Parts: sequence; C-alpha cells; structure tokens
Amino acid sequence: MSEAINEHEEELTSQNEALETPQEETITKVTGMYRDWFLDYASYVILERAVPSIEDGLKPVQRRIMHSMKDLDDGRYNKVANIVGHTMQYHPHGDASIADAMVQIGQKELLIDMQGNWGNILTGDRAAASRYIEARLSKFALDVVFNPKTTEWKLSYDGRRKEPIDLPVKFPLLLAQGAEGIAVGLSTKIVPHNFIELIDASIKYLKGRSFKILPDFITGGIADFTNYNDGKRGGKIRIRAKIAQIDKKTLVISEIPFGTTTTSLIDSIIKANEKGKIKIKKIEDNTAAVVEILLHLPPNVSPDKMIDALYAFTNCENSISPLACTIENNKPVFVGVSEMLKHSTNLTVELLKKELEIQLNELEEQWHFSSLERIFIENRIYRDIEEEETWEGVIKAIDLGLQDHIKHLKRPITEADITRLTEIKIKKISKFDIDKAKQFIEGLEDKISVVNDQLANLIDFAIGYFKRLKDTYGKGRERKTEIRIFDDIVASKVAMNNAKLYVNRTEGFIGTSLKKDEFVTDCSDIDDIIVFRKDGKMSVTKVGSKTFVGKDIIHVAVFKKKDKRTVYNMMYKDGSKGASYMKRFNVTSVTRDKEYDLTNGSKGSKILYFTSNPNGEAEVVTINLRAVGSIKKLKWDIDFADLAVKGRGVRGNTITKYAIKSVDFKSEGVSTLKPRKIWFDDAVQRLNVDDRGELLGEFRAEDRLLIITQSGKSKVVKPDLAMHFDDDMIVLEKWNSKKPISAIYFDGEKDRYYIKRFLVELTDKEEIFISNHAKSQLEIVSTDYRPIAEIQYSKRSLQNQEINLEEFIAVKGIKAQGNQLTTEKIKQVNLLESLPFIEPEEEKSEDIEVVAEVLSKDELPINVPEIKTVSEDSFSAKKSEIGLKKSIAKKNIEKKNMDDNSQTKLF
Amino acid sequence: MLDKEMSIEQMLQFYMGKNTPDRQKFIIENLKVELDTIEAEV
Repeated sequence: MSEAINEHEEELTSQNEALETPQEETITKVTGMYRDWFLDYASYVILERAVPSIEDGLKPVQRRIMHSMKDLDDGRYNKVANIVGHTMQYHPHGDASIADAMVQIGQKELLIDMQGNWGNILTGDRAAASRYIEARLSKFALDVVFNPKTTEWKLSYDGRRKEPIDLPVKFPLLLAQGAEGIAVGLSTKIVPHNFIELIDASIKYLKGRSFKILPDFITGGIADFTNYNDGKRGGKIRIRAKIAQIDKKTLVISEIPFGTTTTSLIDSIIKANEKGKIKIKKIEDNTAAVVEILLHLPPNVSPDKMIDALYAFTNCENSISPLACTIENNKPVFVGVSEMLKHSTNLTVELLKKELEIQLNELEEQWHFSSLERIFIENRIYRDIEEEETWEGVIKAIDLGLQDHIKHLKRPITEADITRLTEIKIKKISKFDIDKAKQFIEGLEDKISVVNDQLANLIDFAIGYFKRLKDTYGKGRERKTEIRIFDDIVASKVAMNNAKLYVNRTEGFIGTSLKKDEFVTDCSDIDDIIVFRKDGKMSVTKVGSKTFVGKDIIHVAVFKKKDKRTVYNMMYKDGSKGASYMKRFNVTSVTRDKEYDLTNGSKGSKILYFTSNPNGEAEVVTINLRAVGSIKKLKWDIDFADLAVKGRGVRGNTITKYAIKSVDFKSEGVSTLKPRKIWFDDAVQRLNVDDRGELLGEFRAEDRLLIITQSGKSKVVKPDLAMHFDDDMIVLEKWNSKKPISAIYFDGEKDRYYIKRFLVELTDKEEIFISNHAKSQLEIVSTDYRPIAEIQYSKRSLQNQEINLEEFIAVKGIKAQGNQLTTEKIKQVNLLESLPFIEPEEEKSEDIEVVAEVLSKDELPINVPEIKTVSEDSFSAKKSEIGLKKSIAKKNIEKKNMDDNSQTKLF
Repeated sequence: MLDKEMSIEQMLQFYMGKNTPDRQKFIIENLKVELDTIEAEV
C-alpha cells in the first residue's frame, strides 16, 4: 500500500518537475485539452460500452449481466429488477439501460431462460417492466459461458468487487448472437449466424478443412448473402419477407425480414400505398406467435407483380450492411466472421486445455494425499508421534516414518502434507478399510489416465466437445432463413400507375399536370418518358409535372429499359434537299435528358412517317412522290417487314432521292419478332429470357405454361416474367392442349390408389385433380404421352408391378376419378422410361413461316440499297404474302389484346 | 492557451465534425486503457 502511495508521489513530483523547468511550454493548450477529453471519451465508449470483445463476444454491460446472473444463480428464477440491481454493482449506469440490454440478450433465446412477458421480436412489443419478469441462466449458458477457475479478474469500478475481464466462453457466441453498436469514430454491426452451422464450422476448422458461415435470423425470411463479404465492411445482405399468394386477391406475409417488425412493416406498406406505389385494399394483421399479415388486393392487380412491388417499395426487403468490429487486446480490430470463428475455436481449445490441466492437477493432488493417507494409516505411522513432545518433533517423526514408503509418489512430501495428515480423525483411522482405499486410489488413477489421454488428443477432445454441444443444444436451432439469390427487381416495372401523362404536342410540353391538354397514358411517378419530335430528335426524361421537351412532338410514351419488343418504324428526309430513308429500330438504353438524332444529322431533316409498334409489327405503306420532271413511277408500296430491325443510330435504307409528297398507311402487318424463348431459373424461382436455368420452350403470344403442384393442383397460365411459383411445384412446362397428364394418387376418403389420365384445359382457375380429402395425396405425375410406372408395395409378399398407364385408362376429364389401382399399401411409385411417342406434326399456320423468312433477313447488311430485296426473294415473298393475308384477319383480332398486354407486360 | 498550429475552427471541425478515416485512425492509435487486474489473489 505504502509503495503505491510512494509511486504516486513520485509521479506527482516528476510532473511538478516537468512543470517547473520549461514552464511556459508545458501549459496544455486548448487543442491538447480537447485531444485528451476527446480521447478519454472515445476510448471509454469504444472499450467500455459499444463494442463487443472478440474473446467472449460480449459488451461490458452484457458481461456484467451474465456475471451477476451467475452470482445469483441458485437454479431458480430471479426477478429481472433484482438482477439489474445486482449488475449495477459492476456497471454504474442506468437501471433502464441495463434492463433493456438484458431483454435483448433474452430475446436472442440462447443464454437466458425467460419467464413472463419478455416482449415480442415479431411485433416489436416491449417486454413488461423488469419487476414483473424473471430470468435465470439457460442450461447452455451454465455449460458454456462460465468457469471461475479459468477466468481472469479485475476490480469493479469502485474497487469493491471483482469482475471477469472476459468470460471463458467456449463457443462462438458473438457470431451466434450478433451485435450492434455505435461508438465514437467507429461502429460495429455483426449479424447473427446459425447455431448448428457455427458448431459445424468449428469442427471443420479443427479438422483442418475449409468452412463458410452465413447469417441466419431468428425471424426467418429469405436472404441473399452473395455480397456478405465475410461480414466485413463493404458487404451487403438483402433480406426479404416470405410472401405467398393465397388466392388471386390475397397475399400473406408469413415471415418478416430481420431488422423489421410487423408494425414497422405494415407502416411502410401503408406509406407506399398512400404514395400510390402499390395498391392494397386492406391489411389484416393476425400476428401472435407467428407472423401472419394478410394483404387484400383490389381487383385487376396482379398478385405476382404486387409481391415484387412490395419488395421494391416497402420494408418487405431490407438490406443490411454488416461491419464487423470487435475489441482484441484493448484495440478495435476489423476482422471478418471466419476469422472470428477461428479465434473463438482456438480460444475454446485453449480453455478446454486449461480446464483439463486444472482437473489433472486436482486429481493428482487427491491421489497424492490419498496415497499418503493410506501409507500413514496402513503402516501405523501415527504411532511414531506418541513419544514426541514438540510440534517440530511430530513433523519430523512422521516425515521419517513416511520416507520408506513414498518412492512411488510423484512429488516430494511437504510440511503442509504432513500437517494435513495430523488432522486425520481417529474415527477414520479406526474404521480404515484398505480395500476401499485401494479402490479409491485406483479409481483416481483411471481418471488421471483418461484426462492425460484427453490432453494428448486435445483436438479430438475439442471436436467431441463441439459435437456434444450440437447434440445437447442444437435441437430446434435449425436454419430459419432461406438462402437464395435474388434477381433485381426493376422498380419501374412493378410500380403502380399513380399518375396520368399529358402532352401538348405543338408547344412541346409533357407532364402530369397538363390536364387541359391531350391525355397519353397512365404512368407511375418513377417512370421515364420517351419523346420523338418531328425534326427527328429523340429524348428520354423522367416524368414530371411539366417538362419542356421541344416543339412538334410526334410520339410520346412510357419508356421501358431494355425493351426489344417495341419497334419504331420510321421514314425521314435527310436535310431539306437530301434523299429519303427508312429504318426500323428499337431503343433499349439511353442517357436521360440527352437528345439523340435519329436522322443522318443534316440540318432541316424531318420525319415523314413514324409508328411505334409494341410487338414489332411491320406495316405496309404507300409512297407518293411529288410529280417533278421525268419521274415515271410516282407511287409504290413498301413493306416494313422487309427491313431489318437495327439500332437507333443507323442511317437506314434509301427510299428515293426524289421529294416525297406523302407516305400513306396501307395495311397492317404481323409481328416480325421471333417467338420468345423462356427459361426457368431454379435458383431465383423466376422465368427469364436471358438463358438462365432450364429452357421451357419458345412462346408465342397464345402459348401458355402448365404448372402442377404436389398438392394435386394444375393450372395453365400465361408466362409472365414477374411470376412467382408455389414451393411445391413439381411440373413446369410449355402447355400442350393435346398432351394428356397421367397421375397416380391416393384417395383419402376411399382409402385406395387411383390412376387417371386427363387433359388440362385453358381456364383461369387453378384446378385440383385429386380428391379433396385431407389424406388424399399425389403419388406421381407424368406429362409424357406413354408413361410406365413401377409400383413397389409395402407388403413384402407382393411383387413389384409395372404399369403402362396408357393401357390402364383412357384420357378423361380433369374431374374424373380414374380407375382404381389397388387397395394395398404402396411403398413407392417410380416412373420408368416412357414408351416412345412421335408427336403429331402440328399444322403450322403460315404466318409462322413469314416470321421465319423475315427473320432470316435480319442478317442483311445495313446498306443494301433500295427495296429491291422484295423481288429478289420472290418465291418466299409470295408465300409470305399469302400467309400474311390469311393471318392478318386472324391477327387483327388478337392484336388488340396483344397490344394491350404488351403495354403492361413484357409479352 | 490557444494553439497557433491549429485554429479553433480546424480543431472543432476535427473533433466535433464528421467522422473521417483520419479521425478513426487517430482514435484507434491513441486509445487510453485503464485496467485493474487482480493477480495471484485467487
């Protein structure tokens, strides 16, 4: 004590000296004071408040709560208020903040066994006041977090008590619980990970294998961890709510993304609805133990699109940027989660080693003394002390008596050993049982050898330890968050139309507030608008209330990015005296508010003819020339279908060098675009046209998709890239109205198996093709023409049976029951290779051929002069023409529908 | 008392202004640690 004071005095004097000698210079300047204050505060917040330690993964307040709970632990529940009060002996801060911190630990459902209303992480409801709720340490915490023998201690803030520097946690607690904190100059955000996966990763690491850990949230949801970046700065994870479609008008949210509550989620949905980004009729919140938020949609709103819109405009998608920062050796370090896991695993091994060593030491001590005791009593050494009169003499006598028998002991005997021997009670000596003592010592020897063995194979022992943790505590801690790769939702594609676009063509204004002018279309307030002007200029601008885009607007529409379907057919005159050109182009990407020239760039150019074709239609127009001089041919037709679709920058093909009087529309054409190839990407469970996943086929406007689910439902739908699919979907393919579907199912009501074959018809409804009984279930379904199935019966005595479904039953309606297969129990049904079947050649309508022909001309070089190409390929042209005429009539009817659809959808 | 090398404005900007990588580095490098360990007592 006096030493400490002296030291202190020394410090003071040395400070005084420093002050005295170069007096002026040592005055602390304001900046210096500021520096001290700032660093004091920053150090305090970083080290004592906000950032968890890498060793035990706890912030000081959490560590103190855990330590207090251990202090108070007697196996029964304690009032939280009491624990909080106890914690204040170590943590000199507000009781409310300690109680909040404790509730947070509790809600992670790992360390604290809770009693009473601890709040609801789903709804965000707060816990009851700390005087009403109780807590005790969970079995897991008692098992993994504490061991006073391996703990290093420090004095509490007032020096009255001792508290752990770090708790000896033998588990990656920080990664399992996650942590969040804002300090000074730095902050930390570590998201929780899956309990079982962490243990598996630790085991893998101990076995020297590589591992990867990904977050998992207690709230579930679906998440994309592609850019997790090992939890380090710069990473980003996206989490989505689980939204399913109950029926055409109802969506249900069954899991919410981490970081939100049902309350905040519903608020964000209401807000988006008020802004007009999404359309919801009614929200019903049935959340209690599990999340259930029902969203009732107004009619004419696609539930598929609405799911995407919810992700795009509400908290149904939440993104979190992790930033792993922890304290290691009193310094903040930024290490990734893999590194943290390695650190924790190494620490666990070290702690296990320490525990084993302590255990070994204790056992050896016990063995040492038991052996001594045995020698002492067996050889009646206690008799040697009868004549001794002094204490020293007694000690000496015993020492002497023992000397002959202690050669097998592992360490020399000390005075303390002998003192202990003198304390043995007479009762024990008189009742001493040699066999029992022998057994006891042998038992100790066995235990020592076991511990020695464990120490020798420490890594195996640690692996065993982790396996035990997994077996004991892993139940019910399986992964809750589904890992997926998200496709990006383009907000403008799923936005609801909440504004109206108007145009004043002559004055060159567009906007949503020009209500007196011409109405163009419904749009959303995040849409981009494409504008074409008479002088051949084009620009894209964001929709506003009133925007000047240039006079003489000839076409204005909502612009869709990467839209290759919309084709613009255009004819223009190059300069005031130049030739006239024609071109077909699409506009896939542009810079906003930049003017693009679609003509050859000469001054005075102007557009003669312009159409916008949402599905790539090509029309026939008549060119009328001005009668000047000796021109013989003043009038002829041009079919845009003969012109390839190119980029917007091309000059186009020359029509004529003479002045054109007018261009008149003659007749409508069909689309020159190919049927679209559609793929299904299993990873994101979405359709796409970008060659991702499995090819479903080529789809024309009238083609449909067939979907069959394990629950025995089938439906035929129009493919839509925004579509979502049920989890239990088992068949997804292009629908063929003539191809029968074969199914084997179990009828719960009649308690037997049936086989049926049926055709799916084109209806909007989802239809169930097995009976409606709760126990009814679909065994197998095949969309092959002639499937063969193998039936394995549960009864051993029954042979496997092969069935040709085509022979078994004829194709009937979807509601038909089918033929009974068996009443025996079936173990398994396997589909064998189907019999060969040649599909009847579809009579291809000729318009398809037109499409093919025209497409082959796509390869024509850009500068093919004139329109001679028509006659060059006269055979196919004629053929096309016949086809055209035939199909035009048919197409015209469809076209209107198609146009409407293509406005809103991609098809 | 005032420092010629750093104006009040600069100083306040540094300590009270936005968080910068410089400041973060400064804090991490100059952290103050107090620790009362109990040794050998147990």
